[in-house]
Amino acid sequence: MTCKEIQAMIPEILREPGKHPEAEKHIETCEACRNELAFIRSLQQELRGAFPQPPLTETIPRRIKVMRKVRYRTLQRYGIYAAAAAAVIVLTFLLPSLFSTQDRTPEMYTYYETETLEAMMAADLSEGMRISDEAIALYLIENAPMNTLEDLSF
Amino acid sequence: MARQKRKIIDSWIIQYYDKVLAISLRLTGNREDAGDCTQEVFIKAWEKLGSFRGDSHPMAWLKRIAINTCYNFLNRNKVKQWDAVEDISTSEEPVPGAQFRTFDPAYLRVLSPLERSVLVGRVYDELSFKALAAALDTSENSAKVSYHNAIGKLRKVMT
Repeated sequence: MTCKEIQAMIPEILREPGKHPEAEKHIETCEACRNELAFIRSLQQELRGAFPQPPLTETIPRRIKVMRKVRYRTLQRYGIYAAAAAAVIVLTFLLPSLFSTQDRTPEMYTYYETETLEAMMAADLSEGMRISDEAIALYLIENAPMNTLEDLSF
Repeated sequence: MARQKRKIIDSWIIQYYDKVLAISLRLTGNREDAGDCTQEVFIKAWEKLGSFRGDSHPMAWLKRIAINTCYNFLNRNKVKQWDAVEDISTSEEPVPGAQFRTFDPAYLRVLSPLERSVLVGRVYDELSFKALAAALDTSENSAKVSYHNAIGKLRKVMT
């Protein structure tokens, strides 16, 4: 091993003394490598003390800030997926049912029609609307063909 | 999945924040920049968590991200960070009888961002040349050359 190779290993030699016997033996006999080891050892010690760790009162708010950032990023990234999933659900289930409600023909309301109209006959209009679904009742009042009403002798 | 990822990062912030901050402090030289870099390190870790295979200690992985983040920071802020270098070599007389001047962190400013990152990574953060080369997106040989240059420059300003 050359001096340069051994000098490049000095951080490991300082960290794990005794684990690099060949290099350590060389350092004992080589002044340049000994100087290098002393220099790096002093650098390690001095720089460790040169930047003292900030107190907890300073690092805790910073940690919380980082956690919040990560939460925000998570929301930003996965929020898009959640919004996309919600859009798929709306498109798949809710919109067709809305459209089908709008597109229902009066014939499709036979049950409700009968129920509503019977209720209307048995009581008054407002009572009938409470018994059935309000929207369906309104639809019937506005759109039911006259013959249905006539058939029921309304 | 997203919640699990966030929980892992939260636990790392609790356990390793101080250690990452210490690396950032040594590289950037001030608390404000170190705080910003540390925040970036954990956000990067969250983003790249899928590539962490778990075969090494999380701190070893975070160290590499920290070195890379601070190195990029130093490169981006080169002018602001490194413009007052000339005065350093005459800033302090050697202590009589001492082998080296008393170390001043400002001496690190004589080093290029790559030299500083390699030196700090080697001497303080116990990273191998291979790990440093990967973190700094350079060759192992270039990392070794930068390390020797850094030691040479520091010796010059400290003796």
